[in-house]
Amino acid sequence: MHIPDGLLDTPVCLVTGGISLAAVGYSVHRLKDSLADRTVPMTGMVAALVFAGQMINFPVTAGTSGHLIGGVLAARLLGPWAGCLALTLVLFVQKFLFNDGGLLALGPNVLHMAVIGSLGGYAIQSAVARLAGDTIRGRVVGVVVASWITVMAAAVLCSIEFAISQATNPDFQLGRFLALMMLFHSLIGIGESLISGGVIRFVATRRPELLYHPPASSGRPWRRTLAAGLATAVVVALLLSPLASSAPDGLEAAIQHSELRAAETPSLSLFGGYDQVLGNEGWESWSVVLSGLIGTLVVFGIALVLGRPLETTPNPAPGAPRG
Amino acid sequence: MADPISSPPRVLSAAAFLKLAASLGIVLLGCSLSWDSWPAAGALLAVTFAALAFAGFTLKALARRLALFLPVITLVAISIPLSQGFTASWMQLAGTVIIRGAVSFLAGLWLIRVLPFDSLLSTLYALRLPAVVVASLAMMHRYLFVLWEETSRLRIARKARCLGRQNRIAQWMAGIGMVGMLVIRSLDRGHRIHRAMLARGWDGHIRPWP
Repeated sequence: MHIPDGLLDTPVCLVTGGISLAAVGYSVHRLKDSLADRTVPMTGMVAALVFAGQMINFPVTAGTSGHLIGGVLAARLLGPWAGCLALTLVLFVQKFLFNDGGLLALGPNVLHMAVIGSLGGYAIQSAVARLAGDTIRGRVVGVVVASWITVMAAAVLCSIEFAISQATNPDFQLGRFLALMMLFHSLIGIGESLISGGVIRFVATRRPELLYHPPASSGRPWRRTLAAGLATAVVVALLLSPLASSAPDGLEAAIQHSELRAAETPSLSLFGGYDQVLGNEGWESWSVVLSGLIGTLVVFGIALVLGRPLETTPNPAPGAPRG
Repeated sequence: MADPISSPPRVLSAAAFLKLAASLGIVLLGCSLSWDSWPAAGALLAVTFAALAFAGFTLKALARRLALFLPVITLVAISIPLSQGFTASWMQLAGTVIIRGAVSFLAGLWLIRVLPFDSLLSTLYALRLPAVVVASLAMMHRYLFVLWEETSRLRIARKARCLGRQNRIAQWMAGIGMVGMLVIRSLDRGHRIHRAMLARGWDGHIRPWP
């Protein structure tokens, strides 16, 4: 799973490194709320545990074996923030103590295994466990599903990063590469699901108090969700909009092929195009970035206004007088 | 988490910083190499080999490490033509990946050799990495080897119990049980360490040691 240096281009490594840094930095900030003075001993211990757990090999076929990755497991034991930090520490020590993985590729590796594995994995397993019921079976199913999905998501993201790195290579076929990555990682994901699910079942049946129990939500949790959603959308708009393809989309291509033309009507749009917000020539890239930012904020504002009537008031406590 | 008054001073060692910067510089240069720039690749490889020799790396030790690394990077490199077909450029592309990866790997080996882990932690702390992250890394480094030994003991116990060959399902079940037991023992150990730290006055802040 560790990407070595040389496979991804330096700008791709730097961008993914920046995203990883932001995610891990936010996790460290949030640890104040969840673990407080237990942060150092518990995060350090679980990081060491994941590292040692990866030493235990599981036979696959003749001569080959696999091992635990541990992102979802760490998140289930310590919560998403400490899990993300613990996996980051594991990857850091693997690089600087055992020279495993790349130095520049530390950013993408942290993004794939710590951020997607722990933060994404925790969100998925919580959602699945909520649907399946807060029982041992529900928790195990949540971990199994989250493990498989996070491995596949990491494989898809890695394929996209590699495709961006191969932008100048006309022979590269993303579809073929993606299919190969998905095929291999679907098997790796099954292994990860079996190990993580089995370990959580083992712990949940013997020592259920050791598993992470999220603190009761306080005040208005939707504000944090809102801020996190907006921040994610803005980061995606700023970083990925310049990489958008200039080729026509499905509808435009269909119009071009069928030789249909829109009727000549006066345009009511504010800007001439995504790349013409700043007007002057030579500013196209910055115009696209600004368009992405403006579009994200406008859509966010509209959604906020439209969503306000749907806001529900909290249910009164049982037995409390109504109206 | 740590307030600036009670945190240890962040003193940067120039030598350690230079080693870290040099390693990063070599990796950055290595990752910018292309197939056409083979003279630069040769020069960079010569520099890293020389640096490893000066650092006391024996040829045997280097060969042993390369024997583990080269098959992996070669597998990664030859997976590229599988995604684009064996077109004219595949060999150059695979060769570029191997050269870049090898330069980075050798630079990493050199860094580990010349910069011990505790010096690396001091340097990162001086470079403003949060104290809580550095302390967690130090804690992980301390208990990594303890858990490693614990894993070895679990392995030996498993071998002693089963005596003969197991089928694959039994091996998986035993492996899951081992990791599960490791989880329980590690978390118990983590709680014991936390209580011991509290008994010594730990309040979540990193303080200078006498």
